[in-house]
Amino acid sequence: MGRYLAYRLLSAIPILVVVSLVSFLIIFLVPGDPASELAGPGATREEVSRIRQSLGLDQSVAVQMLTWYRRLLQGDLGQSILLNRSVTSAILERAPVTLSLTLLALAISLSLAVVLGIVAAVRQNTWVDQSAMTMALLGLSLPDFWVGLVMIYLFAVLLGWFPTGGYVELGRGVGPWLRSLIMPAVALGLAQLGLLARITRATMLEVLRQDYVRTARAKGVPERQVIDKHALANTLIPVITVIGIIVGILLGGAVVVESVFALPGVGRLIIGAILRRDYPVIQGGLLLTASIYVFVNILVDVLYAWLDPRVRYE
Amino acid sequence: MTGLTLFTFVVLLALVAGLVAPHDPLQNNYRYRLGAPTTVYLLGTDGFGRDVLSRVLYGARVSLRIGLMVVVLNGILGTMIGSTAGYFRRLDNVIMRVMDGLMAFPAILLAIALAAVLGASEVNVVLALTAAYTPRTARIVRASVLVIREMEYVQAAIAVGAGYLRLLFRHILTNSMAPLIVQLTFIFAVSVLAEAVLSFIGVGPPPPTPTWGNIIADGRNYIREAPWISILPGIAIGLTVLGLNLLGDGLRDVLDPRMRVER
Repeated sequence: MGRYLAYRLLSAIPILVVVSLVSFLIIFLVPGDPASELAGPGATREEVSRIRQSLGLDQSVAVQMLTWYRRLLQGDLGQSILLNRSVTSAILERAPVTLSLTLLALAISLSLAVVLGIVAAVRQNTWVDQSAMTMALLGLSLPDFWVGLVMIYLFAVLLGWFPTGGYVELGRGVGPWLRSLIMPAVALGLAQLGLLARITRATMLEVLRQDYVRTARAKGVPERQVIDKHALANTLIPVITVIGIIVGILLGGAVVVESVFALPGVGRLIIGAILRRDYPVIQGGLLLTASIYVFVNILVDVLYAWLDPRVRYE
Repeated sequence: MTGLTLFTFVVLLALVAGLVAPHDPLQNNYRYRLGAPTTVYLLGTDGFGRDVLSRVLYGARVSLRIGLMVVVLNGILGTMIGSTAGYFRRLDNVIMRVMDGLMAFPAILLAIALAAVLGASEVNVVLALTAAYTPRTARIVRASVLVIREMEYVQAAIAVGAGYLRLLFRHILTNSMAPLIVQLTFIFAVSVLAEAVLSFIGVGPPPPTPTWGNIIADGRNYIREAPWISILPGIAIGLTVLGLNLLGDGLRDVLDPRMRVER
């Protein structure tokens, strides 16, 4: 197990190298001069050159890259130009919001998807199955930010059940915190709910055809127990493996959903930086999100190897 | 079949948008701003008094055009990268690590960042989406090339003395098309969704171009008094993507029976 963990950690290194390189290089895709783009049309020559200097763009690419990596190894993602503070602290300050949103979306989509998928598989080819899978496909097909807007209209504007946006910290009570997050989390998780329900159903159907399930049925185990005890555990393992991928998609989706619901998270920080060309924040945001994705996937792989020892010996 | 019908319907509407749209999608009518649906404006007007139905119809053109271009570029690049990695084993490791690195970014975030950095325009949206979604396609092509290159008929072709270009194009790629076609159908669906996100955020084709994302963004500020502005384009996106997803599922069942989802 230790060896497997070490192997997975080592194999993350080349990926992180590519991730950091892409995050660094993206600023060179700006057509023309990033410094004058950032300064805006009315800027004086002095302002532009000051910005160029603070971005380090007056130096050669090699020097810039060395600086980028030297800082990176110290956990320093550079200075935000517009916020006038370090990118790391700006991101860390907003991380709890994004983390809460992502985890809540994951919890909602995972729990509902497993139930939906299993019920659909057990009632295969009935109207229950068909409506569950139609709903799953519909969830996959609707844009999350639009679902968010429609929910704001229905549940906040018309019915007044939830606030139209904004975030309440967990410290001010679990109830208000949940109330501020439940709509964004549902909007964000809906597509993943669809995806996970489809995977759960397909896996469950496969498991139900295994010999041990037939044996359990043959020896007279009640159907309910066959599903709950014998089939469920083996269905969940493949579902767990896709959680890593789902977290990545959720982190990407959070960027948009946060701005729809005016949640002060990392996503909104990145969008603000993108619209106002605050390049260090864009670079740092990209790098951090991708790194989280890499580590979550290592975690998932290790969990998988722990649950299913066959994986370790491949 | 439902999927194909649905998608064909959207494509037809986009093609004849100029004929069936009741108004010019860019025509302002300040006397009827945020107007509720009437017989003149079947689905109401937006903040500039433009006809929402006409804008959604023209928006279909932009969405489908972007989706199609992404599919073509993604297919070409994905095939080139994937088959190079699958066929030339020395390059495999390097290429696939780069692809893994690109795939570590949430695709939508990478697309947003690229489109923003390159500048908001239709072409840049296509480039950004292609860059964000090609690694996945490349991985799929590589996987099928890896399997097919070991097949006996390929070995036979090698024994007869076929060159690698002939092997690759004639024997290997022609037989790895099925998963690629299925993947590209889903890429089309994802592109339509992602284009809407990019436009909504403001890094897509700039206003007043009618794109579905732009229209939803326009309506966002009027969600209280004029919810119809944002609702209709979302339904249009949903129907298009649903059609493509159903089509993709159907194609997978026909072309790639091993991946068949249990029915």
